[in-house]
Amino acid sequence: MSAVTPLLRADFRPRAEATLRRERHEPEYGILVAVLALAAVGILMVYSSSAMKAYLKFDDTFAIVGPQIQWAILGLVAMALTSLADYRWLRVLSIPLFAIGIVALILVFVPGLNVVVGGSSRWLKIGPLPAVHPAEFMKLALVVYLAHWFATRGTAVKGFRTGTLPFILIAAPVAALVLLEPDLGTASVLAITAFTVFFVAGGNLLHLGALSVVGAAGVVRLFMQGYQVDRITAWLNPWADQSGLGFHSIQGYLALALGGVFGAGLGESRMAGGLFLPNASNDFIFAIIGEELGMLGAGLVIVLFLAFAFLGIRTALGAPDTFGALLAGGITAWISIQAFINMGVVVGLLPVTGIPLPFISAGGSSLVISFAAVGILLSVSRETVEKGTWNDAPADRGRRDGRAHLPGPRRRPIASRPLRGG
Amino acid sequence: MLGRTDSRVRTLVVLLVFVLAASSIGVRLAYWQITRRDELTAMAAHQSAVTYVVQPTRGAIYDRSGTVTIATTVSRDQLAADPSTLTPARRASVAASLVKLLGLKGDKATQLTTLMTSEKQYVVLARNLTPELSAQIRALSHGTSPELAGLMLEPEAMRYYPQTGGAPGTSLAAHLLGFVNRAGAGQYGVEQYYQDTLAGTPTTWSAEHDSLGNTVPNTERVVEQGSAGQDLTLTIDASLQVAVEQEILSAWIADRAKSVSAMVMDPYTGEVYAYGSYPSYNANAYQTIANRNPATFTDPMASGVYEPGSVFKMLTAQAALGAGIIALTTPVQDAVKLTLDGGTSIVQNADHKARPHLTFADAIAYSRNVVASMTALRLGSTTKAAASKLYATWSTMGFGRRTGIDVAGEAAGIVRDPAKVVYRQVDVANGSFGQGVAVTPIQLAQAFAAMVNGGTLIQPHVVRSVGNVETQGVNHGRVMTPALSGQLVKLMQHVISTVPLYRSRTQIPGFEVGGKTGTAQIWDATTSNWKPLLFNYSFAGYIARTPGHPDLIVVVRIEEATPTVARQGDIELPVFSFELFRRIAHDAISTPNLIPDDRAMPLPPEVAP
Repeated sequence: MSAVTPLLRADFRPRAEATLRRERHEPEYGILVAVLALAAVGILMVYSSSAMKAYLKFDDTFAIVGPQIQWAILGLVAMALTSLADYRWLRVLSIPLFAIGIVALILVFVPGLNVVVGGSSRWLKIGPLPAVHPAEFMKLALVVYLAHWFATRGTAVKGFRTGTLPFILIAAPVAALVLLEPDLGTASVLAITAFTVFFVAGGNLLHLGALSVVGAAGVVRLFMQGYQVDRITAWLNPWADQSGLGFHSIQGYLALALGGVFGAGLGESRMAGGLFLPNASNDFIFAIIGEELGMLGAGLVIVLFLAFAFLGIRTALGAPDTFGALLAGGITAWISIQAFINMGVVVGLLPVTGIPLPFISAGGSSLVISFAAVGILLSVSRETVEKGTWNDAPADRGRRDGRAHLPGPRRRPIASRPLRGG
Repeated sequence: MLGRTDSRVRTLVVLLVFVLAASSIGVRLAYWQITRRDELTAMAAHQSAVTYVVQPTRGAIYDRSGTVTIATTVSRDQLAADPSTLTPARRASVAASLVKLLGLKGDKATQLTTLMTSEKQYVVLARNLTPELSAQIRALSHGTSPELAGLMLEPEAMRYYPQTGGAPGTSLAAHLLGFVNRAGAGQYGVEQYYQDTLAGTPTTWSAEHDSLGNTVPNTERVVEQGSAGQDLTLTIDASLQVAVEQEILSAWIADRAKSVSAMVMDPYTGEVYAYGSYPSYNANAYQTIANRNPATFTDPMASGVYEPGSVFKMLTAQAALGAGIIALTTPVQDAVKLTLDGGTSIVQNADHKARPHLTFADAIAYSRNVVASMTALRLGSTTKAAASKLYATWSTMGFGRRTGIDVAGEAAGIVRDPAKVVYRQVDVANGSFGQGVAVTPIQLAQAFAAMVNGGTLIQPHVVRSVGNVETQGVNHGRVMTPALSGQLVKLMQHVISTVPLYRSRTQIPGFEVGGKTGTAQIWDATTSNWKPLLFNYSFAGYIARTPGHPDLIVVVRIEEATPTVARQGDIELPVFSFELFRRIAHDAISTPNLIPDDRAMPLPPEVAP
């Protein structure tokens, strides 16, 4: 190992012809394995759950899984590119990406550019390009931008005007735009991801608590109107309205029950083939996994997501800098939160919200963006440092926390220790 | 490397939250997949299971050769429409096209137009379309700007009787077969009697269906295997049946009768070769008849009981000859009238005359009521004993109960049991010449068959085989000695050969015929009197290729014929019952391959003449 450890500032921007060489090692292959396994299960299950429906509707059993495979290949390319690149380049790109995301979210409201499905305008279609889901892109853009922004802020994140208020100003418009589509599920994922980054970045817990209360109140207020109330009622007691609002939940439970421990076998789903679960290939694919592969298969999916979360968090913990840590933590949180919400909905722990299961559900935008995000995660994982070797001493936290001063220039990041052996 | 401003502890908290989330999802998964599995699996099966019933195709009915299809099931289209999918203007144009195409007029045209221009999603416009019409509608529904739209052709199983009967506007053997209603149930005749055999049993299928109600492919399975409808082969000969129906029709016209019926039967096997009545009907148009005159459906052969009249003298002769109180050659004394029951009742001959120098056989031939009455009264020492003897003969020969012929709606007829109802002398006398009893032509055929076949009562039947299985005839056993049977054959032959009127109008050169006529008055319950000048004319007899070996029994009944001449004892009818017998018997005996060359039950040689 080279002892050369360049001095880096939190706001360091690498130059293309940088003479300094990064200390890189093998990426965290566990993440790659988990994600590829999930994607493989996904393609298998999308095919299994859609073949009959696609055959009846399009006379082609590959009509739904075919595009999914193409998107997966595109996603793998995206993952390869992002994993090979230095993630720090994202700090340069963070603001443009975020801006593009915001513009795209606004464009979905423009008639002629959007595709309205079921009363929601979530899709953006420009020219001959396939329709994309700007909210999916925004998940990554938001995480990148928040990571960049919090890393730049350093300890100032604790203050209200320096931390909490700007955070609200960044995150709230994003959530609001998605909420307007309307897409409560994705808005929730975005909001919870943003809160998680805020929490990990060292945001003020009191503010976070207050925000959570306000947010919860807002969500409750939202739920008190229209179809959302019914969704809650249906969640609490789906059997009260079996063929109506409780229909989806109950069909999901029935699918799970039909699977039992060992499953009915691939392609043997009665719920998917029989069209009882209209969203068998996307929002409720976990139910089909439970039916066809049983509790063992569904459990494997949970374990894979948990392994991903664990490895992602470990990468965040070992990241060489705050940006990398927040980036890794944010991406891990986003994908895990989305996964656990989706699965929580299917097993009845949460009310029905239409969000895809990452890497598994049919849906191109989600798949490509998720792969790209995992590429970034892998990029960070290549530069993790061992515990104790990175400078984990508290940074300048001012005097107000009542601690003693650390040596070094006031209100500046402190110098790093040399690496072991250096 | 610079100091990190993010929090390690908080990052670990996030991981902890994920672990908790994953665990709770896992627990919840176990709850659905293990704890509540059975309950929910049953619910899933219940919501997606569907059972449906498939009716097998109804069996066809063939004539005795197995080659002539008398009844079959075809698929015909029913025209339905969904007007709600069309604009009001389009509905009107489609309705106009259909009225023209179907050739509807008046109320029917208005009815169709009303249905077609409604807002309904399903209306049935026409049923039982001909294949040509279906094809036309199909052709007009295609193309870029079709004339017809919003229509559906739905196939339905229809019973079809392809053979035309002997009379215009009838289908072959309509009364014998009956018809099949829209629900698939046979009505009247063979169709009703063999309903279960012909219809088969439906197969119950179960399948899974999706939330839209579509059947999921490859999930169908048989819950209860049904059986196919079986074909029937009748004993009826189609060509003879047509000929008989034609003879019946011509007699009906000539005699201005209410109805004419006839049947031809093999006396040894009970196989019915022909069986018909007129007025008949077209079973393909049973719905029209059901609306207009449903009484037409009633089969006069099986369900129509009547007083047979002098035909019954054969039973009196049977009883007397069997008891040995008289012989065919015994001289008898005829009288104009017979006073009975201490002067309260009188029995008269039809011609109000007394014939001199008669043997018993002559008296039967000339149909002497007085002789028949006296003979019957001499059957026993008392009236009651005589009545019992007479009744025993009737009962033995199958009168008063159903023959069991395989046709629906058979009537039992009425003969009173002297053990239950006290007979006066006049009751015995009336019974001796067939008044005061009610019988069906089928019962007469059964009884006359036993008289000529050597004395065995054979149940008549009309179905030769069910599927590939031949039906077993029912044999009620011996009811008289072969000798008595031979005497009765002789007596029947004597009747025809003695009376000049019969001789000239009944005998067929080259064959031996025998039988007994009957001309019965008809009691009119509304006027409480005999119907004036209206009689039921009957004839039951045999035809034989070899003398003394009867081959066929023919029973003819002409109901309420109007005579052209009607004087005391002298009635002239354009076609007498025995003339109709001759025509039918001749048709039957000349039908190729109908009568077997070797008889299963030849008459014993000692009684052959």
